[in-house]
Amino acid sequence: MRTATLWLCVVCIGCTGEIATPSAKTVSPTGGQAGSGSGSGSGSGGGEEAETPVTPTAPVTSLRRLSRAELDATLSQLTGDASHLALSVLPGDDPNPFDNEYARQVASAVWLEAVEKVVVQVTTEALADTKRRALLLPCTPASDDDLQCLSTFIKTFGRKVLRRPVTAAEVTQLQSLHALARQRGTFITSAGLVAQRLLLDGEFLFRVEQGTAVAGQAGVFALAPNELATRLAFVLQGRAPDAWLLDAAAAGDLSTPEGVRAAAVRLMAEPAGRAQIERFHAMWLGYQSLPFDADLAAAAYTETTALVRKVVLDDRADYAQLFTAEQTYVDDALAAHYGMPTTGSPGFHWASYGAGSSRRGILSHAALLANGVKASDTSPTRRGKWVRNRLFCQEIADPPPNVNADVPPAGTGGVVCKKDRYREHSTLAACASCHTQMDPIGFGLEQYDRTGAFRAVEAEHPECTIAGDGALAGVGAFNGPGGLGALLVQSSSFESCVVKQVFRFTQGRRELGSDLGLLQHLGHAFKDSGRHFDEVLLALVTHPTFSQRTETP
Amino acid sequence: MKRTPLTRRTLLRGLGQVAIALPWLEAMSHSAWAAPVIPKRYLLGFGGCSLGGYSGTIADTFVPSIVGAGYDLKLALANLAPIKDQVTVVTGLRLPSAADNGGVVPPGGRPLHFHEKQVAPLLTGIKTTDGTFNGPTTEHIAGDFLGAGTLFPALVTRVQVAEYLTGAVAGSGYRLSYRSSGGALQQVAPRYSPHDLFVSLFANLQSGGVTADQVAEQKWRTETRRSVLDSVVTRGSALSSKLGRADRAKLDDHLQQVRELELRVAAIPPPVAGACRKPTDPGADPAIGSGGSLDTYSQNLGYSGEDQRAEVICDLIHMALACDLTRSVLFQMTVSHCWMNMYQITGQLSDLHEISHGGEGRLTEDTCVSLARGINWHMKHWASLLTKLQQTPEGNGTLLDSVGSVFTFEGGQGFDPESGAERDAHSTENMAMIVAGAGLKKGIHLPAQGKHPTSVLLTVLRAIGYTSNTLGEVSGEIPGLRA
Repeated sequence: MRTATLWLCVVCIGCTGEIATPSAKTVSPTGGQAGSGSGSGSGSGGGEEAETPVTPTAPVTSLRRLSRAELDATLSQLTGDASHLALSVLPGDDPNPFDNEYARQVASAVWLEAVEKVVVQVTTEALADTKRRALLLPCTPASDDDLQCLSTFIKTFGRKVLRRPVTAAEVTQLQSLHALARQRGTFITSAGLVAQRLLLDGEFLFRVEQGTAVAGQAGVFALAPNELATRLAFVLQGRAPDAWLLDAAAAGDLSTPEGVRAAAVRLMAEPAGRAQIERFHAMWLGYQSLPFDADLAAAAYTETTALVRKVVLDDRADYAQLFTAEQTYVDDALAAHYGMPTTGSPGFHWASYGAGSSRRGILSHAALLANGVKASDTSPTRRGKWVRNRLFCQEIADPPPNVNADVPPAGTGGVVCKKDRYREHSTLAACASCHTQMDPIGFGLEQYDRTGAFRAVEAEHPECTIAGDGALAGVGAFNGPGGLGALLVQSSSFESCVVKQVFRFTQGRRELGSDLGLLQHLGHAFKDSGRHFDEVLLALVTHPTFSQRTETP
Repeated sequence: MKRTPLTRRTLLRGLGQVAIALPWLEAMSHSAWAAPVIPKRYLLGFGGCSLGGYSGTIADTFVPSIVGAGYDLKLALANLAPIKDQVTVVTGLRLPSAADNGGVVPPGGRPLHFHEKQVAPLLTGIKTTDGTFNGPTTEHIAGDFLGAGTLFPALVTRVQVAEYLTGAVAGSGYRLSYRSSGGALQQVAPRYSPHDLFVSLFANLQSGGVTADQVAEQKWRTETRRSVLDSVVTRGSALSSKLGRADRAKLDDHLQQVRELELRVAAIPPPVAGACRKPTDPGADPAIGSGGSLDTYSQNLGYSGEDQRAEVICDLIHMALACDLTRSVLFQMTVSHCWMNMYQITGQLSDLHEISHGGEGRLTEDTCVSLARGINWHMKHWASLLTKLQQTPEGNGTLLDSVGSVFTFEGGQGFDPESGAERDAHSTENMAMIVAGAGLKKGIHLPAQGKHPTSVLLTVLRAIGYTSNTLGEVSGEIPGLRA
């Protein structure tokens, strides 16, 4: 039998102690590329302590393959596909927590064959449907060999697909498919083949940025206007630029910060812009795919998305309200699940938690409380680690090699209650250095099970009461998700971590030491705006570095 | 340099013979559908669990009591019964760790950590300090020396759809197939969709009774598809040459996949003759990760009909080998560190990983017994696949006679250098492999105490023509395993 000694830690590396406001200098230059799992170990940018201002530089970037979600949204945009075939056919992008880390995108036959299947099916369906056909085809062919119409199609559809004007040579090349298509097909067959060819192009499936070298700055390139439009659209809408944006770029409208800002405001106000902000939150806060039955999963997603919409998009409120809101959006089933009053009416409504509840804000939602748990129960350690990682942008080192983290502490000498079983973590000095950073956070959320339902005692040991008292080391004590949210938004790490997560999502990678200046800039913009979330994005895209790239060495 | 085994020029030469039912490349001149020589094949199975742990012993649930012929099948291997006379069970294998070598990972070894750290040395014979693969895996090594002219030099399949740790992201989970390409190591993503696997393998096969017009239509469709892919590569290559080093490498990797797909599309399908036939379209895949119940342990979460998926994939692998579409196959049933829910398969209210640690108190029997039920599910499909191969006549024998097959699990049961515990699931002691086919002993239990598990893979490879006596950092066969 396994013994409790298995749980003894000998060393803990990387547990730095309290949540503090570190100097800006502590951004790790070895934060690493996406996927390295070795992001910065501390907050930066926008902290309360005096920081040394650093001039922002153009972020390092690389060729980025469209994520599954981006490909799906773009195919829908270009062909009117409403079936979201890509989502069911393509392999998923393993989230970390964002689905667009370019260093994790590995060339794959499975992915390629799936893309080909989707492209063929989507274009065939779109051209067979006379209403959708107009979205692709700007002219009515006079005959099956109307090369003039085919040429117009190549130029208009090709521009949307390649996100740049199609050259005369490319028109000729693409037209050469016509003869082959006509061996057994019609004009529509020919147009379909051209569309498939365009949608399988490397310039469609990848975001290719070239630009022109910036004099005096090695490895830095200024993006071409259409490349800037593309970057803007993918960052703010998670899909390719619409024709109006490509037109604006071609007309020089994106050559000033004001022009970029106007375009960005419009992009963010469109449904695709709102959806992108919702997607960011769902990935960052871990509720894009919930381990619940279908009804609870749908209700929980609705609840959490409603709060994000309200605070970020509709009210443009102080972002702190996301973590402190006194109301939530529930239907009777979810209200009953939470132990809140029901109305007897169908549908969702805003309801107050009331004075007797320790729920406040998004951390009280089932969607978030599903994070950092095990299959059968909560894990105070994992929840604490999740909070440190996602909300404070801190990395906690893996357990030392002599600890088996797969099995919860068994306890010794007849110890039954969970709190007592976990006590070893804090009483043994070797364990405490890490576990005091995690377990007390998790115990502050312990009154909420892995589905977000309230409990005052342990299900299998009713004699064990759950107090829900927790602590953030170096910050203060709290009880329940509302208390944690209140501490979080007062923490000096709050703004810098939000900004850092936005940065990771938009760049498709973890931050590097060279990103410090830009992170500072975003942090200030967030704070100075009264913590309006959209101002982080606007500060990013209107900064001169947004129209530049630094080539991956 | 990128791996370009089949050049564009060779491809065009082949295309001149599109309508002729002959292999379209000189490189394929040894191919089975043109040549009478029966090729050798390699089939590797993988299960993402250990053999036992926590409570009980695998001596009661897995390891046969009888050594040699006429061995007994315990719970974990019970499903091998129909094919037992063909199958040899090799036990007592041991993959070394840093604990054996003063804290330094030894050749062919792993660090103290278990999960995702032991698979790379197991499948490559090359040590790892952090789980990174440092060499190609055997299905690609075999593919290179057996299947250079076949459509799928190595066919990489997986039954378990997703990792399931957080939600069900199709295709997610630790990757364990790597090929060597122009000196670089490339991760190979598994084909996890049975339906898409069917299409990729068999879409071009004529099922008989087709009209001349249908043949012409098929030929035209193939040519349009090929032309599109060819044009993608041509223009992509021109674009690539203008990019910086890192971007160019990434685009070239992608274009290599496009070129390889083009070659598969353009290839003449094998004739539907002998044992080769076009399998029935399996239809839509079972749904991914359906909902569950909150009242108990969620019974359906973390499961996507893997039992049905395994059945279809076995059928497709069997026919891919019979039609000589591939000569090297990875049949990965479960993902390393397997979090797949076992409820629909064995009725156990837990996932395979938790089961190997006692099921978090939800299971009352010994862990080794609980785990044996899951292992036996792997053996159900492995036995089914071997039986199909054995029931397929080829030459004077059966298809199985030309296939070197081996199934491995990712751990054994024994000392865990992480925790210091004995009889643990986090152990690479007392590992075992299930071996059958070409040039290998049939129907015996062969203890190979302390031998490196990669030696079993090496022995199987050598039985089908691999000439080196070394695989990665591991040398020497398992004595007594070759027939």
